[in-house]
Amino acid sequence: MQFNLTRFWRLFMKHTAEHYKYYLMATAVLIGFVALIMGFVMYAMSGPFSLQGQSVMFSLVMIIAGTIFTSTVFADLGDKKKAIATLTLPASHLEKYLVGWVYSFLIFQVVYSACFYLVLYSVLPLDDWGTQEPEYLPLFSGDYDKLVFLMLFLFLHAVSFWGSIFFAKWHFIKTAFLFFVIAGVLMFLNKLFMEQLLGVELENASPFSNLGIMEGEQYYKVLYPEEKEGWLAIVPLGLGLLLWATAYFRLKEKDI
Amino acid sequence: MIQINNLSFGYRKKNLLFQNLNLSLSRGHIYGLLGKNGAGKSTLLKNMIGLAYPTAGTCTIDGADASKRWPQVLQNLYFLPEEIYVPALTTTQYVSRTACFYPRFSEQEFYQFLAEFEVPREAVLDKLSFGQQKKMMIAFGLATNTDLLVMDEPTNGLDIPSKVQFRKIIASALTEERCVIISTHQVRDLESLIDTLVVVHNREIVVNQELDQISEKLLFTTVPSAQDHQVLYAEESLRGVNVILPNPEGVYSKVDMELFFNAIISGNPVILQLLNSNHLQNAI
Repeated sequence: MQFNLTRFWRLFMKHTAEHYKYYLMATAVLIGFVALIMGFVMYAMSGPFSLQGQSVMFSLVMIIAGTIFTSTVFADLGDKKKAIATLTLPASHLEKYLVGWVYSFLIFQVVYSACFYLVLYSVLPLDDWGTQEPEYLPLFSGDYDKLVFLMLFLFLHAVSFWGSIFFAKWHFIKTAFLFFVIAGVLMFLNKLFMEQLLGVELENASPFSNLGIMEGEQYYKVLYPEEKEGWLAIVPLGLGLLLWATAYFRLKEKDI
Repeated sequence: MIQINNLSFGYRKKNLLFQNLNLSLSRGHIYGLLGKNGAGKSTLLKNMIGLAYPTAGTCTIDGADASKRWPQVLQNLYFLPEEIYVPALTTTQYVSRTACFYPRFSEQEFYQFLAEFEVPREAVLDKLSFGQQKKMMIAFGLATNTDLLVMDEPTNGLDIPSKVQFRKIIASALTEERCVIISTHQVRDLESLIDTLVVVHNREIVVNQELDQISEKLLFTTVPSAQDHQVLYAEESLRGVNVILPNPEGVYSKVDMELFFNAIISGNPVILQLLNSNHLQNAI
């Protein structure tokens, strides 16, 4: 694994010069999309746009936009002509990988947050707040839900990132399809396995989550200890790291 | 410079394109890689530069495994594919963003080649015609001054004056340190340029010899009738019959690459035996 900061910077600048028009257009589309969704929600809701509503929208649009954008970050490798230009450029695989990672993970989050708050601060005052001051979703807060969401985003980013390298075309569709198929199969097998293990019929038994058991009229839940719930965030983090590593090795072994 | 040892490659494991292939290419030569459509010329080039992974065997560039694609190896090789990609940048922008990856890149040489090819300096690359784009990339590749220059069908898309210019520029760019490999099916375009022929046929390298060596062993000439000669291969032409004859006297003749290539792929074993047996005698 080779890494040279000067070479990485040159690669980053080259990537920016060759893609900035596409990124600027994508940002404009993102602003338009957020404004459209936010405007529609505010119009449809009877009361003012609550903090919880803002939080749900922030998370949902970030996941959708983030995974779509990430799916395109290595799309060039699916085009033979572009892939040759990329793979024969004198930079290491790690440097090429990191340019895509920085753009799709770090820069995306900064740009997305900026776009969301730009729209929020422009549109929210137009809502019907009566006599009260508009309430804005705080960006930085150390609450547990935000940590869980960030871990979930990291995991979904890693899935899309891997898909953008692994598939040659239809990156987003193929990755999403594979993701749902694997998730469905895993949930089914996990339920079967847990039922065999416990010898009872389970209502739900998703991987790495609580168990729901129905016995006669009684419904029981087997919960992870509340004080240790934070540990569950390690699951998406661990899977995400694993997928990032897999994506790196896939890039390293990419052939034409 | 390039060493291929027992290389086997196939896009499917059961259907190998090459099997136990061995090849050694040195500096100071312009190699012409010839083969029928689908013989695997482009695939062989991709194996050489690490864009395809051999099923078995190794391919090294100056001792380094090509498939690792180390930056130190890549900065000393330039590959011009048959179908090229150019970004939506001007020539100047492209050079300022890409040349920095090649330590021996000469901007002066680049603009000189560009002028010789008559490609405008300030044009946006993806707005140029395919031929113009290709000429720009050839100029860039030559200006990188890499020791290894690999080109896949470089004259495709070039007009006649550009082909002449291409031959001139490549000939002037060859140094003792440089190894140039050109894959082509248009041998006439490069006849005066190539000094060593490599022919891929039936999953093997059947010929890897300098033109001088070939002409020492074979005589290329035109005769009124093939009947009075010990003809190894013949083709009718307007001026008579173009033939390949054994050359025991070592009489000089210019290698007719197209005739030679046709003779090889026609499955004529005598020519190959003659080339290889003489080769062994020379080695002894």
